[in-house]
Amino acid sequence: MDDRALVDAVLAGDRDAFRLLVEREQRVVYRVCLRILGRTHDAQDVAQEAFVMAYRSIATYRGQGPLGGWLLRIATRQAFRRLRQRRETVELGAELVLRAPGSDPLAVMLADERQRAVRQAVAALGEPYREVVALRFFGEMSLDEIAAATRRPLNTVKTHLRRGLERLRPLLGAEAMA
Amino acid sequence: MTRRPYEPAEIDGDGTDLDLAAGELERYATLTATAAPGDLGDRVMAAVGHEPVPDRGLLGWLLPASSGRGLGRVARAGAVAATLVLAVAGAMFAGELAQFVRDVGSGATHTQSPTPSVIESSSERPSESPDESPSGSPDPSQDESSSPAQSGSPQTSEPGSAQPTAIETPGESETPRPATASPSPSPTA
Repeated sequence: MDDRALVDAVLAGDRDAFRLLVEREQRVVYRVCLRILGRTHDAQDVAQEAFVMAYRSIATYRGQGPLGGWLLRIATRQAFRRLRQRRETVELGAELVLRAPGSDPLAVMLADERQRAVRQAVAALGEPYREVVALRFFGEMSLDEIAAATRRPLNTVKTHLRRGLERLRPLLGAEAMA
Repeated sequence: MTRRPYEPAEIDGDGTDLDLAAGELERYATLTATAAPGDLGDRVMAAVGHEPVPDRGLLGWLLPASSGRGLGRVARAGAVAATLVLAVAGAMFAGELAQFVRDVGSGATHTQSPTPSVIESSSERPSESPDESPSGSPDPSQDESSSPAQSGSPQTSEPGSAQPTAIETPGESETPRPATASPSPSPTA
């Protein structure tokens, strides 16, 4: 079932069609949420919220790029919103969930710090650079897909990605991460 | 390795100086390429089960991407145009009606609105009325008291009141004359 037929079926009240969409996209949606938030339970909550929001507003999908890209954009925004809300509260005993496999405790701690630095650096980017970087690296979308999903020219998306990486370079370069 | 590894050629120009940042993002994405929890789909569908069927909306109804055949779209556009015309006409009628009601309401309030102003102005009058009422009331009382004084002073008003009595008195005083003077009153009567 292609994206348009799937959307029409959902709009006609076919919830099984939406289940198809969930099963098809949940892995990518969950990953982008996890990469932005760094916590599994937050990622599950936000992924679920993103799917519900997509269900409510699925009529606004006009075939701009793949439906998965449209969904990832919703998830990305929702995850950054949750991250902003979470920062407003005191983070005590933050859960370090993204372990480097088979490492000693010191290496695990360093890997956690490194991952946290990546998340914070991307989250600190201004828009539209943050969205483009997140969709490209956390959502693993191509620049063509990002351009279609955001309705921006491809060259504009390239410029946004370049400027986003330029802003990340002092934070994520070898010297900064060492 | 991610599903779509980054290549410097993605961004036009020399992006080699950005490879370190991009490489760090790639490493992070590779480490976090975990599977979604098995029950995520069920959780989502349970949450969606409480939601009503999504509304297609006016734009979605007018411009469905999959059913863009000419006749149906023209019919929909015509229906939307008719609806808009009716809505505008209804709004105009409602405006006229509101204006009418406002006029009627303002006509009723014009008779009532001056009374509060009178009440407010009368609240200022008490400060003036004590000045006016003492000065005003004595005047009539003085006029009235003066009139009794005039009426009560028959001695001084003898000249005024003496005229009618003088008219009558001559008759009484000239009683001997009526025989001769009787023709004179009858012509006057």
